[in-house]
This record gives sequence, C-alpha cells and structure tokens, in this order.
Amino acid sequence: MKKVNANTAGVVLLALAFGFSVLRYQNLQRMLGEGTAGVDVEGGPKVIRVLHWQLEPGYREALQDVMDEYNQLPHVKAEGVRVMQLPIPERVYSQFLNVHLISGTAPDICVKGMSSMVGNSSALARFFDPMSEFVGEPNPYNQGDYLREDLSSEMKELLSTLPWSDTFTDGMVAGWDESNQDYFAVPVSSWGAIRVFYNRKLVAGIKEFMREQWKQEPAPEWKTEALETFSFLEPNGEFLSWLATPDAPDSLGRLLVFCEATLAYAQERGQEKLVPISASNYQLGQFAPEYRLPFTYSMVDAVNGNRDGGISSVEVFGSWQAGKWPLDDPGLGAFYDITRVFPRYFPAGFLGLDREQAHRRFVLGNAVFLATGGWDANSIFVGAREHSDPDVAFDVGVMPYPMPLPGERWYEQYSGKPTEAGKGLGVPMAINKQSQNKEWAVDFLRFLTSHRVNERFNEIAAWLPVIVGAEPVEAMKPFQAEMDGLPPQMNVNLWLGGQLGTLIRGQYLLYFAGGIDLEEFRATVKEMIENPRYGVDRVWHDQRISNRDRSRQYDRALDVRILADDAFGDQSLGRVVNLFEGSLLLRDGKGVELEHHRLLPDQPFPEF
Amino acid sequence: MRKILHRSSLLIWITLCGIWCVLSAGCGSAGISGKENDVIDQAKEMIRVSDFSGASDLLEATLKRGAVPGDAKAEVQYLAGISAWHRVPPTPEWEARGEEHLKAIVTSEANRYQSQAAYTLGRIAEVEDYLGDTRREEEATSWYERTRSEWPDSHAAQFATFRLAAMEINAFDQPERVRSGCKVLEEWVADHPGHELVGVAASFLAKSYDQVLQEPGKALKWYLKGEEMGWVSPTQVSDNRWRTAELAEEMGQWSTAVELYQKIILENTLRGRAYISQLRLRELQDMHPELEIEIPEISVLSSDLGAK
Repeated sequence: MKKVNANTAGVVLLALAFGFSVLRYQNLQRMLGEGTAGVDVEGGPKVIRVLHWQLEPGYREALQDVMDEYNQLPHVKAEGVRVMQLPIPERVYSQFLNVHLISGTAPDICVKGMSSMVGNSSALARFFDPMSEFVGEPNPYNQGDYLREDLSSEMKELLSTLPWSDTFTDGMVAGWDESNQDYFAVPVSSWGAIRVFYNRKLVAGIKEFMREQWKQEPAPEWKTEALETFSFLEPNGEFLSWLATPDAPDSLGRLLVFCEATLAYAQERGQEKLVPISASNYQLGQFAPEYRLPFTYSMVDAVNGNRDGGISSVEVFGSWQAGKWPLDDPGLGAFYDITRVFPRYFPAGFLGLDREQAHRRFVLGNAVFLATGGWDANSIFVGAREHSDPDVAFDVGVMPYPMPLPGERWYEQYSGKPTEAGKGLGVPMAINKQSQNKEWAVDFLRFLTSHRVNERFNEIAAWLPVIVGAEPVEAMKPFQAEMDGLPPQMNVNLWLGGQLGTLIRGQYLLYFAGGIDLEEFRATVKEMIENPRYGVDRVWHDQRISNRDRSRQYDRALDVRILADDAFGDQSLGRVVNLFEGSLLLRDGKGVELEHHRLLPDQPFPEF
Repeated sequence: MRKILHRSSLLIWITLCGIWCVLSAGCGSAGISGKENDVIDQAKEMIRVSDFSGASDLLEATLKRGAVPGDAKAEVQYLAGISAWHRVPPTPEWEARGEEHLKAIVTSEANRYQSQAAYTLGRIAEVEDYLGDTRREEEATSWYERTRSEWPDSHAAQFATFRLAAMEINAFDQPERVRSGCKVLEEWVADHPGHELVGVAASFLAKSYDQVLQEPGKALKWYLKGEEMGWVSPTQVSDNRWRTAELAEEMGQWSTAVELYQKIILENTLRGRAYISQLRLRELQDMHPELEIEIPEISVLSSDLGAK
C-alpha cells in the first residue's frame, strides 16, 4: 500500500472543506432568495428579514408565530414572499446594524435603537425610509375577515376606517422623528411603565416580623433608625392599619420603614444574602427619573419662563444664572435626599453588578423588591414561580413606585406623581432604504400591527399591545400606563447640557454611592456651572450651535423632499410644509439668543 | 519529493483560483448595476439617501467632462448646487461652489429650478454654516426679494416671504423690526387665506408675539388661527393647545380655555397634559359655575376607542 503524504492529505482536506463551504453558501443564498449583498435573485423567493434584539423569553416565539401566519397568506405565498427574523444580542446589535447599514446589506426591517447611526436624525433619513405616504391609509389587515369575530360592530367600523397611524394608542407618535418631520418607524409592542416587583412571600414574612417587634420595649434598633434617625414617617393610625395587613408598602415612607426592618430581619435570621432591594448599575437609571419630577415640579414656573411647553438645558442653567432658583431649592434637596437613602437598601457593590445579576438575586428570593420594566415581567414571573426548590418559589406582586403620603418625610416638597401617559411604546421597526422589497416590508408591518395580530403577538410575548381596543394579557395589566399625573416634559434635569450635564451626573453618581455628602455635591455643582470653559456659558453657546445645525438639517431634508416630490411647479407642497416649519421655528439658533436676552438682558451672549 | 511538492502547489493554485473566482463573482454582483448609468438618476438617488458628498462629486465630475446635454444642464446644475451646499461638513469652498452653480441657473434661460435656486442662494447667505462663516443679511434679503418679484407664484416665493419676515422678527432686541416682520407675515396670510403655509405662519406669528413681543392678545389670536388651520407637527399639538388655553385664561376667554383643555384630554391624551388639564378645568369649574363646565374622563385607550 502506497503511503499517503501528509501535506497532500492536508491540501485535499482544505480543498474539500472549501468546496463544501462554497456549496453550502450558494445553497443558503438560493434558499433565502438572495444573491450577494442582500439582493434578491430574480425569480427566487422574496425574503423580508427583520432585525431585532428582543431576546426576552417569548418574544421571538411570538414574532415567529406572526411570521408563520403571514407567510401562509394566499397573496403572500403567491408572490413568493417569506418573512424571517434575525434576533441579535443587545451587546452586538449596534455594531451589527452599523456595519450592515454602511455596507448596504442591512435587513429590510430593523428595530430602530441602540445604534448611533439611527439615533442621529440625518443618518436616520439616510438609511431608513419615511413612512408618511403609508400611514394615512386604513390598514388593510383591519378589514373584514382579518378582524376578530367577537369585536363590536362599532369597533370593526372604526378599525377599518381609521388611518393606520390613528389605530395606535399613541397615534404612532413613537415612530415620529421630529427633526425629519416624518414617521420613520412602526412601534409594535409596549412594555408599559416601570414598576416595582416584590416577593409576596417575603413581604408577608417581614410584615409579621415587624408586627412582632413593633411593640417591643425598648424599641428595636430598626424602628428607632426608621422613625427617629431618618424620620421616614409619623406612625399614625393609617400606618398601623397598614402594618396589620400582609400588604406590600404603598407609600414611600412605608417602603423605607419596611426596608429598614428587612435589614434587621435578614440579620436576625442569618440570611446574609437577603437585601431589601435588588439593584445594579442598570436600575440606577430608573430610580432617579422616577423621583425627580415629583420633587422638582415646584420649580417649573421659575425655570420655564418662556412657557414653550418643555424645559431645555439652557432654561435650567440659564434660569439659575438669572437667580430664579437656588441650588439648595427644597424640592431639589428632597430629590437628592431620597435617592441617597435608597442605596442603603441595595446590595453592597451594586454599581458593579449588571442587570442579569440583579434579576437572579430577586428570582432566587434574595431580595424583596426589584424595579424594572414590563419587558422583564415574563422572565421574572416564570423564574420566581417555577423555581426547582418549592421553598424558594414565590408569587410576584407588582406595584408603582411609591410616593410620600401626608405625615411622611418629604411630603411637603412633593408635587404629585408623573403621568405615565404615552410611556413605553417601543420596538420601533423601521424600513431600510436599501430594501429590495419595501412594499412587502410595509405590508408585513401592517399585518403585525393589525388589531387581531398585534393582540395575539403581544399575548404570546407577554408585552402590551399598541393598537387601540386590543386587550393585554392579564399579567401585563399592572404595567398599563397610569394616566393621572404631572407632564413628564416639565422635568428639571441637571444632567442635560452636554459636557456640563455629564459632569454633574458623574458627581451625582459619586454622591448617590456615598462618596461625597450633599453639601460637597452642591458646592462642586456650583463650581461646574460657573466654570468658564464648560459651564453655563458653554451650554448657551452649544445650544445655539445645536439649534443652528438642526435648522440646517431641516434645510437638507427640505431639499431632499422637494426633489422627491418634484415640488417645483404648482403642485401641493404636502410634507414639505412640515420641514419648512421645523426650520423656521428653530430661528437658525437665534431663539437661544432670545432666551438669553430674556433671562440676562444686560449680559452679552457668550462666545467661544 | 519535488513531484509531491509540485502536486501540492498545483492543488494550492487550484484552491486559490477557486477563491478568486468566488470572490470576484460576489464583488461583481455587489457593484453598481448597469441600469444606473444615468448620472441624474444616480445623483438623485444619492441625494435621496442624503449622500450629498457622493452626489456632489459625481455631478462635479460630470460637469467637468462637459458631458451634460443642454436640456439637462439646469437640472444637473441645480442638483450640483444643493449637493455642494449640503455637504457635511460644510466648508467655504463647497459653499462657494454651490453658489456658483445656483447663480448660473438663475441667470440662464428660463427653467423650472430658477425660483428654488434663487431662494436657496438667499438661504446660503443667511445662515452661518461653518466656523468663521458670517451672516450676509443684505445679500440674503436681495435674493429673497428677487425670488418674490421674479417668480411671485412659486413655492419658493412664499418661502422667501417667510424668511424675510423671520429675519426681521429674529432681530428680537429691536421691537420695531420684529413688528414689521410680523406685519409682512400677517399681510401674506391676508393675501393667501387658503394657502398650505398659513398654519406655519400662524404658528410662527403666535410664538413670536408670545415669546418675542410678549403681546398675549395677538399671540392668542394667532394660536387660535393655528388651531383652526390644524397644527402642522403632530408632536406640537398638545403643547400649542396648552399654551393657547393658558393665554385664553390670561385674556379672560374662559370658554375658549375650557374647549382647549377638553380637547387636550380627549384628543392628546397620551401627550402628558391630560391630567393637568383636568385640574385646570376643576379650578375653572369652581371659579365659573355659570359655565357648566364638563370635565372629560381620561380614557385608557387600550380598551376604549371613545377618545379617538
């Protein structure tokens, strides 16, 4: 037998592997109906690819269910159209989307977000198609047989006649891009509002512990801490009635007293891992926004002097510069106090933990509370209920962020809770400008956001539907927006304003984590605002440049639209009107100078 | 040994050739297809996706080669002009190039791009685009005036009128100029009652009277005109209605305020002001029981189509 040379064998193997990969590649391309660069092969199936990062349990399955139904529709089959999904992990989504947008190979439909390429209005217009021409027509999948049979005739009539945009609970505003004055995405799900999840079993146990110890003499240390050191509340009759029940804390004072008791409960039982609130760097961004508006709303009249309906960074810092409010404003102070108290009840080193670690701690019964959005609800409910150890398994309760009641600390500075109206409409799907099958992409989005399909899709995914009249699944009802409350656009936020805002946020995190005290924090913030290089003067200057650039962006979009609509003759201006208004109202940055003149009439506008 | 090496080399060469064939085939289909040879179509497509630099380079090269037939010259120059001006980042050289093309269109024989080119020249003079750029107000005024006088019925002439008015209004430290700018727009509205841009004029005048001149009566008049015409931007409706209602209260027009607060609750439910509109209505109810004010419920839209 002739001896086979190892080199020859290696080369042959390499050639075989290469040949196999070429055949496999061509086979896949044929199956997907694509040539290279995502271009459909003539006569092959038309494949609509949907890119998203929603890897939460149930979401992909729900989307696949809808896609399977769509792919079986007679007119879809007849045209050889097939929709498929490309779920990509959150961590690499941005890079994946950016690379494919630039190379012209991005999928037909992409969830807008994560990527800086779609966060920028000019890039958004460059890579994605505006949708105004489609949203004014009724959705064909809200007609006749496509609708649920048990819908009232009034509802059927409305759904079949309303323009597509008006069938969304927010009028499709979540898909609107202000700078381009057009719809650029179709929201398909809603996660609702941020809520506090709680472990019912632990709440009941700790409440019992509290009742046992409440009347002890001398008072237990946790009670003294809560009522005397921190003065969270006056233990009035209403508090005692609440204490007698197994109910979760329904006010800020009660929550904090409960958290103090939890620390003692864990210590007494030797449960070292048990903490009142499971938190990580992910939750950090959720606590502060929830408490900022309720305690700074009292500053709105001082800050929003031009009554223009919103509060910008120049209004915040400019009004301070004009002496309209002090850094030690009582409302602002209450907000800082509250957010400083919370970390006491977080796990040690929470800033170094991530979202998954916070979830795991809660699901394993090592924390009483966890704050997060409806997108995590399904995994938390299932994880907590179906734990392999029945002693650990528990029922999850859901409640809104508790606010102070009369007789509790900070109640005097409290203006009211923020409204949740319009919150949480998400998973905005945008159509890639390079798509070879734009009309089918629109058709699929219409199908996905038709009343019946959107309701079922979100039922399987355990999210909230976005179409009017669609019923959410029972477990998601607590995440529906609470409509009562103060307008979120009136938020006095010191974290805005480019570099200055970023630096103040950094100092706030240091304060939040216990690195500095409130006085030190305020003194540093004052120094920062007054800094001649990056302080308030720079904010004024940068805002003017930003508005000027935005105005120019409108000019660009306007010329693109005039060209696209061939609006040179006597035909209707149509959507050109929106863009012209956008450019005009920004006053080429002069509006910022006007604001400066109004607040500081004797000072020249800062130049750099 | 040499024989074996020879055979191995042959296989390697075959493999490399295979790789080359596959790669070149792939690159071939990813390239620009033959059907897009028409320069104007290519440039328009680039502009459509906001690739102004690509369009500008393509059109400059085409114009340089002199490969543009006479009947397409105006279109190519217009596209080259706006592409050059819109390039990112803007530079003095490209701005000048854009102006050159647009001026050539304005001065050439009559064509459909002239009015828009003249208006754009005014805009180029008006805006500060890059470090060191200056606002050439007189030049801008001159181009806008020319657009209005030479092509009075064009869309560009209407844009030019708005820009002329805005230049006056934005001189906010000179109230007389602001008033004269407002007058220009008010006269334009009177002359063009059904024009598509009346809503834009109403919005701009309302905010100018409100924030620049601080004349609540006139601001209210124009906010109400905007409400009547329908607000242009859907995201601004709630803010505009809220401000109109506030002004109506300030001017003692209680019924108007009530109507607007009710509209916010029923039609702009998810824009954040429905609840505080209810609070305002309650206060007005206490102050003016004779008005018999109804306070609508905030509808949870996911289970109720009533508000739609």
